[in-house]
Amino acid sequence: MIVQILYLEQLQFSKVSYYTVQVEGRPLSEFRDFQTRMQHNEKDKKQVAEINRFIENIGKKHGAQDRFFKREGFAERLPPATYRFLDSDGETDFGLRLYCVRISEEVVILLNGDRKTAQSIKDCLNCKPHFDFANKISDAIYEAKTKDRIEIDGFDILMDDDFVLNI
Amino acid sequence: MKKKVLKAEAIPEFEESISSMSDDSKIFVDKSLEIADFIYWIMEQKGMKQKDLADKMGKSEAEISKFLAGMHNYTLRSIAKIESALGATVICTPRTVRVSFPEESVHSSEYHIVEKRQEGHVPVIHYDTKVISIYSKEQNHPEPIAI
Repeated sequence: MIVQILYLEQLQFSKVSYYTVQVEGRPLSEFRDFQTRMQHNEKDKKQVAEINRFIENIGKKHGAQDRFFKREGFAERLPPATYRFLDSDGETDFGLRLYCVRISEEVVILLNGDRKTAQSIKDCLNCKPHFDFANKISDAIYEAKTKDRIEIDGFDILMDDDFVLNI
Repeated sequence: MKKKVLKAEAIPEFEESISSMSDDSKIFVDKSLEIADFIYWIMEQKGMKQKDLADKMGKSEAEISKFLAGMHNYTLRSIAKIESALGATVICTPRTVRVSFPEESVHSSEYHIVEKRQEGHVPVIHYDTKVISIYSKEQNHPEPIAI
């Protein structure tokens, strides 16, 4: 699977630059796909708006500090640990999850997600593929960094012209 | 020679969804992050770790991390316990601002001074969205109450 890193032009803030990825052959990037899919019902719209406001706030005021994210294997997710959306019961509906890779306090790659419907990620058919994908992206970025194919310079991801992630 | 990521994508849904939020939801997200960040900042100023605060509050470190993560729905009771354990005010209302932070103790780049003015004997300093009053030496509280 060939994956290209994109930067999100409206999500370049004074404290954080947000990026996403697009899988070759898919019409939308992962983050755009998440945003469009979560516009189909009121509950999703409300919860994704809260996550978006959180992303915006971190970007403008606070920086992508580790404590704002929940670790998920080698990746991260939002909202932070233990946050329960008011309209999710916490038994069969744990609310929306947006998986991401926090590279530094200034650089975050926002990926995809869905509504979590089981306590354990392995039992949630909605979120498991996004969780796995985020972990593969995290692995691939780590490997690319160690092989000096990409580097992080402040708010920028620097890479060779022909660079793509292969996961 | 490595280059910046050039390919960009617009996400119109991002701004639209934030615009569609109710005011109270926006305030909730903003304030929860502000409070979390302020608690964290006080801890840093006092050299406290999560474990220290957990011990003082009789809670687990996991519970303290909830307070520091943002999007936490603090109760007034939990804020009172946090303030008591920190020995510092976390929330104050505009008419009862009595918290004293020595000006020289506020060094974090997170809190920019945007305005200074004198209200009677009390110099008031606005830091970003926060309002912190410093007692003047002519008053009876020359020592800082908090921090």
